[in-house]
Amino acid sequence: MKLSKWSKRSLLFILSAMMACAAAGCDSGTGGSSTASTSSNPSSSAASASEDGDAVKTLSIAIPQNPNVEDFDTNMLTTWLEEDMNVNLEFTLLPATSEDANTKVSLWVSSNSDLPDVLCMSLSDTVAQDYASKGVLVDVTDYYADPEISVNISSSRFDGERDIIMNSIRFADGKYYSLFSYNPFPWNEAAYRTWVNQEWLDQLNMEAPTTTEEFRAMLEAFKSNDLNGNGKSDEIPMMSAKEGYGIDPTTFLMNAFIQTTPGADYMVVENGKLSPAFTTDEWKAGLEYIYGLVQDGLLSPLSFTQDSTQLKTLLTAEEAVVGVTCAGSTSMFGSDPAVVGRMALLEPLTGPNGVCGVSYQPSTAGRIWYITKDAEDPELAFRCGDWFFGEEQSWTARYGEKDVHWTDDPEITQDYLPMFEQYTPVKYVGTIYGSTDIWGQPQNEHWQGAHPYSTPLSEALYQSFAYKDDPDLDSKTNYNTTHLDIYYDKIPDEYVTKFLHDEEELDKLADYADMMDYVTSSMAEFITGNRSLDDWDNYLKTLDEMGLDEYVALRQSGFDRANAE
Amino acid sequence: MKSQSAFVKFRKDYLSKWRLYLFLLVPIIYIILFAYAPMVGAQIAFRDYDFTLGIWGSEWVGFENFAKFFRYHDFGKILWNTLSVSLYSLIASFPLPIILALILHSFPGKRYTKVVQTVLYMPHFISVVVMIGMIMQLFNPLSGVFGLAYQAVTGSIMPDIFANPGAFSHIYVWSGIWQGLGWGSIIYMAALSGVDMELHESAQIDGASRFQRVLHIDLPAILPTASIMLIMNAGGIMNIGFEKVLLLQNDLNRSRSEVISTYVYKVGLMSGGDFSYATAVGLFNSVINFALLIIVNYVTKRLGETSLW
Amino acid sequence: MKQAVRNRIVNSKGDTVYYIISGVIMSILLVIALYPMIFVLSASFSSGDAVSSGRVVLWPVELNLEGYKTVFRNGDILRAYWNTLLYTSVGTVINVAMAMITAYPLSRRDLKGRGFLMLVFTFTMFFSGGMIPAYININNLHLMNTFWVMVIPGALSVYNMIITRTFIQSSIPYEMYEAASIDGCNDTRYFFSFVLPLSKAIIAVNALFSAVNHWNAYFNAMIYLNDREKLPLQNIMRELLVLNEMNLSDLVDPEQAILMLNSVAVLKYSLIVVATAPILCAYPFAQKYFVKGVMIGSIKG
Repeated sequence: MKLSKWSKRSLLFILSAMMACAAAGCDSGTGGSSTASTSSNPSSSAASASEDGDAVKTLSIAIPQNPNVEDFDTNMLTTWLEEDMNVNLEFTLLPATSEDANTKVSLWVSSNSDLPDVLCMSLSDTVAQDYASKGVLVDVTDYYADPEISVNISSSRFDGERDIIMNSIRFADGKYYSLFSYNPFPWNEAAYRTWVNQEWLDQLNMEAPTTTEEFRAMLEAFKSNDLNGNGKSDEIPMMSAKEGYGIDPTTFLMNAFIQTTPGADYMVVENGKLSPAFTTDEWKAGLEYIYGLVQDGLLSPLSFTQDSTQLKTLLTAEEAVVGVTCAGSTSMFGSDPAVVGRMALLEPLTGPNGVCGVSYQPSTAGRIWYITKDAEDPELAFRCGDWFFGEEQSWTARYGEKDVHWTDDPEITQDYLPMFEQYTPVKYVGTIYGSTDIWGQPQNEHWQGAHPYSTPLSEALYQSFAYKDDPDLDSKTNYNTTHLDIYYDKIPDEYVTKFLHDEEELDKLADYADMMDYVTSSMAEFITGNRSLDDWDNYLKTLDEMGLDEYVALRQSGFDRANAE
Repeated sequence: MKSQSAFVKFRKDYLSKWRLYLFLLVPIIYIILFAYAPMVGAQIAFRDYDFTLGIWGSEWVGFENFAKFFRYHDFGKILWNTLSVSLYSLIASFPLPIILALILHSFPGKRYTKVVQTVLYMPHFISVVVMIGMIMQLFNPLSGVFGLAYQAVTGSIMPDIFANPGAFSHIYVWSGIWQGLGWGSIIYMAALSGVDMELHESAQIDGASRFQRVLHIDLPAILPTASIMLIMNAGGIMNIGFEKVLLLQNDLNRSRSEVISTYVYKVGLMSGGDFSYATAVGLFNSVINFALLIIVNYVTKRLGETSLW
Repeated sequence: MKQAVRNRIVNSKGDTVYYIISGVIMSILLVIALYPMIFVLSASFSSGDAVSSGRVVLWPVELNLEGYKTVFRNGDILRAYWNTLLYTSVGTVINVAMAMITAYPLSRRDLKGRGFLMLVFTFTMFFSGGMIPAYININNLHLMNTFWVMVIPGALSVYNMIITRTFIQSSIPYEMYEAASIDGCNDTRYFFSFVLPLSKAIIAVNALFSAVNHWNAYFNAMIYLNDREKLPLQNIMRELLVLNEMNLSDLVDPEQAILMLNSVAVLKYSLIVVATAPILCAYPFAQKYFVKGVMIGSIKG
């Protein structure tokens, strides 16, 4: 598996960090950034030189309206691009929700209306495939191959990650029809995290559990002791919610029995072959274990019906009532430091058979910036898309104006970077000035990231976690580094990066639209006791009747295609 | 002689009413332009629509798009779920606005009536997302208002209604009534305002109580409107939107909460914008709706009530 | 004399019981319907953190105007309000007129071919060509991206027309037409002098239904309008709501997006308040026309 090897290597690179290649990292880092900035300048001057004779060309772009972008026409990023590339950008604003924007574009396409030069939006795989095969989108494979045209994309910024990028945006016919946006972030790759109330553990003088047995014992202790000291036995040992980011309560527990990832349809990959985890005996053993927790009042069955708002109500209560919860984001604990501070990340558990997995979904690039058949100058459209991949452009796209919202001035970054040194080479260029303000507020510096750009792993690992003027910086737990420590050595050797299906397969897949629903519904029913585990054989039989084998075969060919050279 | 009498009849029936037909001229042009002209496009339900070939040029596939829909192994279940929720909704939510309108109309305190009426009409404007969020919050056994009250009274924890598949239809229907009751009564209030006050006055002189007058004057007065509403509601039996159902759906109640619209929505997510398939499903729903409308219309007509035609 | 009779009856025991029961039912319904309104209002004035962690139950928690600030910071909002007002008023006038001129002839039992015509109209409630043919049709009629695309395609609501027809049939006696026609009143004059004045209540309902419909409409604007300057309020509101349902994998890293979501959790409540307050004010105007009964006799005489 080429991809998995790649990722492993980069992680090793990150984790061994300073020890192995500090100096090398430093060198290649500064070298990389300087080449990027120098290479972007000649390219822009070359472009303007070649077109100086001609009138300024116009590029029309359809882009979803964003209420936090004040005016696309006068936006700083727009004028910068117009100047560098000697073009005039003309925007057609699409509705803001991606669903509405897609409806509108599909009406344009279906009624054979004239299309703008560029669709700067994401289309679903199926729709993009359909448009590509019917000649609506321009094949840009050759532009990618020509470093004269894909100036920034061909630069050394992407050297370590080019394979994963190109693999994740390729179409089923092996060609490319779009540019991309690629902003990897390890924190999100293993998002099914579990948290424990550290204060309760301390009160009980218990160590954090590492096995399913210890975990159960801990929950029992949570249940039988009045740990919040209010005289009532209102402690809920473990609770989660039905939907939310990394919130599903079963994934963490099930991974102690069999490595499994919801986003990969719970497929296990072994020697390149997919097999469903949810028909195995290990899965059944996992269900039995979790059912036992629910039966003994250790895992609240509300975890399968309430939404994250109600979970948050209980989690943020001043008087702690929940011992263990699953959440991808610390925002579930609200903003009260006392509440946030009492929760600690829990290590993945080891099950009775020694299994200790984590769910894993690698960062991939997303397709954006499709050049349409009506584009007068597709090459110019591609060049303009490529322009965003210059280092400073990409950083501006993500964080706003240089030296206003972020900086790579060593005078300033030296105060913030040491905390990361253990994990990453100090190639790191940014310190964020204003926390997340630049994303939540109307502004006119960038397009809120709704265009092609990239801050690759080598530059961006910890970017959003150092805030200028944050008085609590030192006292804050950096969950990010803890997460890397305890989750990343457990990711599987082989995993699903994405499924890449052709039109025929997509059409067939629609017949199995309820397959995963049946799996998760049955799981919830078995766990809550709404259905007895004696019914397991019936469950397998139903899956069989629903066409599980065909479904897995379809997924297999999508998996193979995505990993093909 | 004969032809002359036919002409007389024609003149009597049609020509003398030319003004009435003139009234209908604009509406008929309108529906031809905006409803019947684009209706030829419904044929894409029987084609594999390809925009490069156009509506008429796309490949004719007959009932393949319908077959794709019927072939779903649980088709019977989702059809039954749809119909049962819909029927329940029809039966429970049809009479209540009528009763409410009768009560409001007969209540003597006019100012209070106006306040009640105005407030009852407001929930109609709350979005489904907000409403469902509110319901889930209220009924949470551990943190909701009702959950806490139940705990205070009984000392035990309230059962989780969202975990009970059987409770799904009740939540769906009664939250709909909560939101639509006041709005639904508006039409009956208008119908009641058309009641001749003289009828009431003479009944009062005869010593009829207010309740008797509600039963014998007000109710008959809105019966035509009520039967028309019943006919039209029956014609909407397949229209269960997916949004509210999806919001209420969870892994434990899916066996009862998967309806046609949610299933089609999920298929749509997987297969992208397949217009032919979506049109076929829409057509299937419309045929059932229209058939029901015709049946109920026929029945009310036989019962001597107002009907559509 | 009549007054005395009425008083005696109102005070009778049976009536008192009936009124008490009615009053109690009304009060219970009032509380049930009032709760969501208070909740929405309170949530719109609370902090994002309080809303997203379910701490708002009845009254505002951590009083905060962030939601309203976000709404009104949007530069398009005033123009969108104006557009909506325009579409709603013109659209409503057209809708009411169309419903009346269609319902009146179809309510006349002496109209030959009435059943067939009803079928022709009703059929369009159920069957349509779908989105693409409609879009192509609007394009062919040169209505795309014009003011009229917001009021013409929905000009006749068959549903409202049927309700109107039923009202006319059941509350204006056919005998009145016969009497009028003997006096030499033609079909047009009968419509203007008798039908319209007696249909105030149903005209009010029509106006209310249409106004609310136009006020809440966004789909036609979404697909048929291209200029931002023409967009109505609901479309701008939906754009703001997008902040609430940011596609987590698309833009920023999910962790950061979730932090943002919290800060705009109040937004959906503020939007409801801002978008519906004006249309709520329309109700009392319509209500006026159907709380009081009509005296058919007074017109007859």
